[in-house]
Amino acid sequence: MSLLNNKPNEEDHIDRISDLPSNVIDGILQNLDIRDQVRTCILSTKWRYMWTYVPQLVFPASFFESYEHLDDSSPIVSEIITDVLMRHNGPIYKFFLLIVPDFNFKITVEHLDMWVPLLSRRGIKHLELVGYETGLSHLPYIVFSCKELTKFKLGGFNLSIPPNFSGFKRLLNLNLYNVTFESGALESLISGCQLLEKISIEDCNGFEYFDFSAPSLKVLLLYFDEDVKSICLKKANNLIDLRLIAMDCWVSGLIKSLPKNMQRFSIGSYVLTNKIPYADIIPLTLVKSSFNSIKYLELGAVKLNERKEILYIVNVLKSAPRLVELVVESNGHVDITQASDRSVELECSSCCLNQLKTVNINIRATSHQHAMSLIQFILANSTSLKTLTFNVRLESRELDASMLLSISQDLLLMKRASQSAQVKFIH
Amino acid sequence: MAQEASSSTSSKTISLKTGDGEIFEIEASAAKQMKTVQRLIDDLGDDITIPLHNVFSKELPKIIEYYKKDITGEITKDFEAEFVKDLNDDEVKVLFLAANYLDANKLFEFLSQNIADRLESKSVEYVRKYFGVENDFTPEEESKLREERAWSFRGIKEDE
Repeated sequence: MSLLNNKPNEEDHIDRISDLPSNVIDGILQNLDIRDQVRTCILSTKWRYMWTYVPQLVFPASFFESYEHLDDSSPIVSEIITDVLMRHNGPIYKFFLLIVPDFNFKITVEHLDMWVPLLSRRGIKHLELVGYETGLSHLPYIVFSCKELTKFKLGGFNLSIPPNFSGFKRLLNLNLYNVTFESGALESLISGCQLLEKISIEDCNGFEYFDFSAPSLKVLLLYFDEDVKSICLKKANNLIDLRLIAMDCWVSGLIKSLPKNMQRFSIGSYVLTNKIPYADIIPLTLVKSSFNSIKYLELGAVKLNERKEILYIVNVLKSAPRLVELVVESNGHVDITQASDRSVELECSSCCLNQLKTVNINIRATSHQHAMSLIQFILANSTSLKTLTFNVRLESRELDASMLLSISQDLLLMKRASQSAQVKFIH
Repeated sequence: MAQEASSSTSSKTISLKTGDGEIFEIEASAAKQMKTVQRLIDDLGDDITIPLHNVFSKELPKIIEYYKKDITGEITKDFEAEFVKDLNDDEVKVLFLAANYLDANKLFEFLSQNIADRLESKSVEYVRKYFGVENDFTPEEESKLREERAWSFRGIKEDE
């Protein structure tokens, strides 16, 4: 503080970042893109090698994009990555190659054979190799020697597991996108990683069943198609967040078992116009034994025009006493055979939805009658309900004023178990 | 007014005095998130006004605002975006240095990311000024280095 006046001189206290200890500078450096990070070498002689001690090297999509104009960017891009790795000093905890779709640079086996041993020696923890490929290259076995991995994201590769693979003992997070598994590869991979807490499998193929011992698993996101014949999750005792997405088609009787302590469950369809035959995929007996702890439930691609689907949903609700939030979606064109029963008889003798607070029903259909029955059931049985939002987009005919009015009127007239329930009608 | 009585702990507020002599109140639970403050409380007691020589009245309210949101668990991406929206690069730097001094980890991490974002593709001179760095390369050394690392200089707006 200046002795000459009362006001402190701003120059006196530390206002220069460069005067601070290196871990503070690292804090900023670690969030820089690879180009910004390397360019700090030019700031001053003191800064010349600072970038080489930052334990991360992230090559984002924008890095690859800047070479898109070249016919063959492979030589120059791989030369840069190699140069960066060679000059780097100290541990490397994060290494990302995030290649853009349709880019003419491919991560090849040769590249990885060069780069991965170095990463492995430097203690790589978080590795992301994301390419988008139609002609997939085989992930070299060298990757499996990175023993310190805690997070691994892989995209655009063929995956097979080396015979002597002892697992990634520290892996917590596994994210696979557009990966083709050789026979048994997925199972070998997951069973070798007993600490796995989160798994995401999207747009992958080569596995027919998902039935793996994953004792630490908490979150699972799984995209499946008709090649997947069964999903068994009863061994995943700690799984609390499950998201299943149907890529295109599905097999009848797909889900064999569900975890007992699930809290969040969401199921939907990647193809918006598909309808999921819920009773076929998740039999009610399974629902009754697994939905006890569910707090958040999202059912997408529901056939809301069919009476039996509404009954199914009601039965699901009756089996989920702890439910707090519900989302039901019905998208895309629905052929309406006949707007069957106007209203479905839905009774619930012992009030079952005591904890339900938020409901979102989104339909894009040709008929809203059955959805109204469901709403009526929910309103009559949810003693804690705060908000119910009914979002309707009707196809084939315009939502005219009189129909809007009649829906609004019907909604208003419905009996509500919760005094403070708010019903929002959006169209 | 600060509750000076030591009996209640839940709604306890702590008095902080900035380097330019102004006093601000924060909840004890927010003070816990600023390790420097907490250490001073442990040493001096929580009934005394804690002096913060290196933090000033311009930035402390913003920091308090951040941690007020933090203790109610309301910090979202939207909140963070809004929080820095109207700040210029120097104001963020001042906040960042204050967060470092206060050992306020969450704010420090958030601001270091924000600063990195702001520095993206800025010219070399700008970054030198920002970090308070003097260029001590000879012109020959500098141009050689630029040539070697040409790839990292692409797309950068250089000032003269």
